[in-house]
Amino acid sequence: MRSDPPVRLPAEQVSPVRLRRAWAEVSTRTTRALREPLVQFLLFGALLFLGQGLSASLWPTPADAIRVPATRVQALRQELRAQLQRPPSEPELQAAIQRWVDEELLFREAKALELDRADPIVRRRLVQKIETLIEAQVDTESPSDAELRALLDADPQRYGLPVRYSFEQRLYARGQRQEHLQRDAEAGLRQLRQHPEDSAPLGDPFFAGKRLNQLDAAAVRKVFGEAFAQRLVQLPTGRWEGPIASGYGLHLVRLSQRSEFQPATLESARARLSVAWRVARRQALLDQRLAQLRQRQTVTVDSGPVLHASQAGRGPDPEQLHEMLD
Amino acid sequence: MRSPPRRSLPALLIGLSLALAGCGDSQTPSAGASGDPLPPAPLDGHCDDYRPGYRNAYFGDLHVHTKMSLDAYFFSSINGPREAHRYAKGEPVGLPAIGSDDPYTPARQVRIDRPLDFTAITDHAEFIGGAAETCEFFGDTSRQLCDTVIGQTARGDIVNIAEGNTSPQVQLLVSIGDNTPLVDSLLLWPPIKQITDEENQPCRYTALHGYEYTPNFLTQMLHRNVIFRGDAASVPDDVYSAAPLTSALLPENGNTDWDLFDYLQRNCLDREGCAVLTIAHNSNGSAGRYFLGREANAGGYTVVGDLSGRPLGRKIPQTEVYFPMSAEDAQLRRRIEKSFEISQHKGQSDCSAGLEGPYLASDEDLDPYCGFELWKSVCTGKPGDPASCAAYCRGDPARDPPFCGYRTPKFDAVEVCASQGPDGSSRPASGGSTTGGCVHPLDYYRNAMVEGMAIRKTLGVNPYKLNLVAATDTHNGNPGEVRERGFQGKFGVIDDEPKELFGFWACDSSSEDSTDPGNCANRRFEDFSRVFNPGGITGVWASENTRGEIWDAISRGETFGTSGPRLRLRSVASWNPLPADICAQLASSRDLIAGEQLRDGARMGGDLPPPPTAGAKPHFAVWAVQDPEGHPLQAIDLIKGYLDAEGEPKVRTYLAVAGEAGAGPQPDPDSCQVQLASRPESLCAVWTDEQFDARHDAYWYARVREVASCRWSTWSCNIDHAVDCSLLDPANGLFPAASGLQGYEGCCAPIDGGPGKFHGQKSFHTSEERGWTSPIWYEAR
Repeated sequence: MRSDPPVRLPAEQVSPVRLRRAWAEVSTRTTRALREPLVQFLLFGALLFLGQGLSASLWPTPADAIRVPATRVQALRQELRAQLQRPPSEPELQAAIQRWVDEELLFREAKALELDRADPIVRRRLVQKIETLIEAQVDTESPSDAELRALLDADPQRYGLPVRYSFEQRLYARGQRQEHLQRDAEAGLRQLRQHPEDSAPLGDPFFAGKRLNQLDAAAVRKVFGEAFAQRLVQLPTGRWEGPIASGYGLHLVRLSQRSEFQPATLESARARLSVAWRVARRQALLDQRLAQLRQRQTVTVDSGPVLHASQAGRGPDPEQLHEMLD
Repeated sequence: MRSPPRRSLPALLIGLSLALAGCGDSQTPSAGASGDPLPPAPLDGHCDDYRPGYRNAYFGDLHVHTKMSLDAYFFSSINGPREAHRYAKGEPVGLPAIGSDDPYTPARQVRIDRPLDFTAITDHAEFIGGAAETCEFFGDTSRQLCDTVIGQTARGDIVNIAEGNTSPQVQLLVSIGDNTPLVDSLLLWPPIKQITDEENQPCRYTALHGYEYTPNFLTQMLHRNVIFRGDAASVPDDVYSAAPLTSALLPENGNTDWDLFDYLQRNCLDREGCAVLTIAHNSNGSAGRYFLGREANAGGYTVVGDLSGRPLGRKIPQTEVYFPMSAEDAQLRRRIEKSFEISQHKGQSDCSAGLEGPYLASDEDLDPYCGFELWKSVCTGKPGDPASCAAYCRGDPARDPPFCGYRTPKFDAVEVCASQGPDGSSRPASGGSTTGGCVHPLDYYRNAMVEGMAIRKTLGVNPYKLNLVAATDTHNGNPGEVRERGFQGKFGVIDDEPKELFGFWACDSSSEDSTDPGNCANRRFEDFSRVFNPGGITGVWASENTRGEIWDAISRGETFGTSGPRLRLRSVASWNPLPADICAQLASSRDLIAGEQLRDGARMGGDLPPPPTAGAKPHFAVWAVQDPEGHPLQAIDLIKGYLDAEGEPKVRTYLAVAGEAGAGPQPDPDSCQVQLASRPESLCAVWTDEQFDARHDAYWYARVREVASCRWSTWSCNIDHAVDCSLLDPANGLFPAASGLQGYEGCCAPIDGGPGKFHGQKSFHTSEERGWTSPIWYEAR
């Protein structure tokens, strides 16, 4: 572009005619400049830029459209009905729809900003849902006898009947006997050993009675407490022993039978084994799915400052935070 | 009842086989009563320990949260419903590491000391399964088809769904279910129900279906547990939740209880085969809402109708217009709400120091044992405290009960509500602008029960008549864990560290430094979990351990609650003088009412028949035996609520009707050892109510107290960690790191003074653990 020296008119020479000529000069230069491709390109870009801003305010860019399906309207109607105890009016329903739309708009904003990715509550909630879905597949399966048998063989103690005790007891109650507790109990023992057939009237009333049948060790503990249960399981059968202490006082005990552990059969334990099978199978389905997913994804772990285990849960200290941020 | 969808048929079969198997291989106590021969073989269809005419005591926890509860899911997310049942049965489960904020990784194993006989898992209804609205669109006839097609297909097609493939079924699912409730109700509630049925073992262990309805609007807690009687097929497919679905309506709670009762009536009681009851709890946190008194209307709402002699009833939603409670609604409430949790982790709700209200018959009737495990204290050492506070709080921090030192406003140091009303309208006398800071006399059981009798004079029905139970409200999936020593919280990572258990210094903003009084606006000591306790347990008397028997016992009120120990309590009443050996008879577990030994009588939870003659007085017998691994008994008190000659509701306590009056022995301060000596293992009270007036309603229940033992905080502060309060740094009221006591500052609460002068002192807090029988009731004709 030729570079003409700027036109400069002496002040005394400004007159309409001069102005017209100055204007013609400027417009000629402008026209020439406009013919330059670069200028045209820059102007066109500026126009586009301005135009976009203009059009955005005049004609809003349609992002995804929001469609409120009939099912959603129906659901809102039902919810309002439940809360208002009457059918909602049309304005009320419209207001509820508008609130739902507003919520949906904000929800999409949040998702667009990927706020859901880092939110621990959303994350855990979705993981909970997908885990339940994956595990629910177990409802379409059922175990074979061989699988149940394997579970039974792996833990026979769990499914069989534990050792059970049948015994008689006489209570000497602490509050009843006071300082004579030991003396009365020992006298009772002597009497029982000499006249075992005469045992009925001895001792004080007890809520679980004088004869107890087929209790396992845990059940004995529930009734009598731990100290007594530990002594009972060591007693020989057939004769009156004691006094044995419990939280209630002193007891005289005759263990009449110790029934040995009774292993389960597949039939007697089938229901419980099926439950155990389902529990294990649910976990297996989850593990299986995770294994598949892991194979499909490559995972890289960034190396960064590692927090010491002793600081776990207390957050990084300022120094380490600096390191991470720098 | 409509036939169950195909997908639940396997569960049904499992349930049946379990029932049959259970009767075959039960291992339960069979105890003969004194001298009676045992039946030669178990009676057909009954458990081993069934004896006609006798009852057995069974213990359980009716308020348990697992990771399926939305709150527990983020704070203690290791144990689900199955793990919780296994814990109750005696198996170990995991809990998070103490000091970690990771709620998902089990780092320590815990185990119950003695298995429970029954459990109800009561996860929060909110978000475990909304109404299956989607399938309801198709109407009842197609609903089953919808469930089957969508539900079953969804399960069979899980792999595709998980992979995001859009099979036709998935498309259908998505197009119909813009609505998440379908997916939610398929996801969480049915598996919970299935686990409950699988873990139920008739004759050995009862697993009850249930959930918690958890409305919390306007600072008035109004929670209830919903407990079903039957198996999964008889329990509704959805749960009723308090989460408002249309979030923008104005918050209100005028109808939240009626909403639940209506729903349960419609969806359970009106359907064949379904039976349900609700258990009220934590009225102590309801700021006057739970049991509205006659004409209580603090909000000045418009009442359509005559309110005199009645409480407020339903409201017109989204208005300020109420109806008085109707007789029909009182009946509805009575039909469904059967029981009350008198003690649990968040405090005891029987009675409270300073909240006797107008219900004391006279000043001499002040019950001095109402300071036990209070969550909300109105005795905060300020002028204007209720007069009865002086009986408890002497100004000696080392010896006063814990609640005298509670200092956290709106949480544990609150005002008395001078007026009560729904929708957050209760107000303290000072006229504060929110309700969170007040508690009303009617928030306590004994007052509410007798107020209900006054209401009955107008309505013809006592809407509040409730029997009682107790529970833990654990959020760790460990039912029935009630041990004091070693208590480590109930809420996962929220309350397992020392500073969470005992309290901590806090500022207005978390960016400030709570260790530095100069850099901490409004620095105060938060009491936090120190005010709570390990929880209680329910005892029921039933003829055998099956769902029907346990639920029926709760429904008829043959239940008692304790603050934790496995006491056994029984009570009976009769118009006839009791036989001389009534105590031995009670002690032998005979069911005296069914056996006709006590004609014209009632047992715990029941109603006395009309008096046979004018001037007849009721005779009571209460029997109690200690926990065999616990402490001896101190005394039996009787609490009577009645309408006086003017028809006004009054409460009177008869202290030490059996056992020793007065304070009783204290445990050893250096070891917390409780002296045994010859202290009684059992007590029996026989008592006649000479003041009885047959023209007026009355209730009577017993409170059985153990000898004093150390509170969990005392075990930890005084014995296990030997906290030395002289080591507190006067500059900031904290223990220096070198002391090894960081986090235990709450052991020295209340911490007084100011920067440079902070000091506290150790206390020796003991309490008398206790049990409460369900009342025996009398309604005048």
